[in-house]
Amino acid sequence: MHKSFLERALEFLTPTETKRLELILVFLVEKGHELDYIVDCYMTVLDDMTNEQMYFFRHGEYRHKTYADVADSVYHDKSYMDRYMYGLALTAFFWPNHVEIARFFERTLPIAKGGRYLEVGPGHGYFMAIAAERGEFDEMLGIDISEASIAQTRGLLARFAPAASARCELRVADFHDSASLMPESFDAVVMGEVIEHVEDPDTFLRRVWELARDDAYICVTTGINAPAIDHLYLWRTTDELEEMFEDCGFRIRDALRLPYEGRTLEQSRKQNLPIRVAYILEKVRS
Amino acid sequence: MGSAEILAGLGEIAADHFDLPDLVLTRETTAADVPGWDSLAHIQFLMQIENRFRVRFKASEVSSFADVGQLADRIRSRLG
Repeated sequence: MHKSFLERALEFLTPTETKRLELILVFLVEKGHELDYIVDCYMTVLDDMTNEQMYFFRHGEYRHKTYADVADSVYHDKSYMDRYMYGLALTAFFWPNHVEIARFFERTLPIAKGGRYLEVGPGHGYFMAIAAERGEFDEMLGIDISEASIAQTRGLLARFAPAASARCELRVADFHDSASLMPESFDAVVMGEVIEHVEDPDTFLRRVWELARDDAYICVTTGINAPAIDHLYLWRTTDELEEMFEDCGFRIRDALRLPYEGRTLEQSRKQNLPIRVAYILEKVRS
Repeated sequence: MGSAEILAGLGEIAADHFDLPDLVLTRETTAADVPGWDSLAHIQFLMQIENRFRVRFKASEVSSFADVGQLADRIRSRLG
């Protein structure tokens, strides 16, 4: 079942995406990983997704609710986190909805904008690598709570945009503790698949509002009814999420709402199937 | 519960779940034979089977069935 899914997915990639997938695979091989390990990384993501999807169908909620539930077993377990992040990086090419989200990000990214770019939770590093490769930002900062994520992001940046590494800073830190960042100092703020990982996404969004300049490019992606081992905050509808954006002082400038493959948005909503979403937000001053 | 009864029950669940009223499952039927039987639909199908037959599947079992016959056999072994 999954073999034919993957074959279809790879046909869907552009030559540029195929080249990037090759870069990631080369990155993994150069780190000394065998093919079996790389397959195991992808299978880790698949198995965990299956497990969490079963829990979600049975109980109607995500298994974990607090950061403490997953901190040690996920974010601070380097062996697990490496496999998880490597596997997730592959889903950016293997899963059509993830491919579409990355395309949306690349399509909307203001590549000539310059200024300061902040990525909160770069995770596997693919979005930040695209921004470094395509964008002309003068300074780029990535903050992630996981050392494994920062290491992987650093590795991808080195391969995607080696010339940009001098203007990229990566920090292992909790975005909750970002007081050292100056208000209204960023021209781009990106949070790809982050806000579902925190207990209080509205706090993150309000902090983004503070840090972004008025005309900043702000990109947020997440999932609705999208269980994963470390997803904590559950939005059951796109409306719930979009109301949160509004409550936090944002207006939606552009949006991508992707139903589960082969279903409509309405079918996905009725069956509580994962809906992937990406938004370009703009600050609203009341 | 006998194999035939289990197979009939699976057929009823599948016809409804995949919205294919004329669907007939045999022991040899595979996911590739049924339109819409993708990985997530498969998990949903197993959840409905759990409710109908009062059995429980582990996550590690989800992709272990090569065809409907193997699924029916697993249910039968669980039912004792």
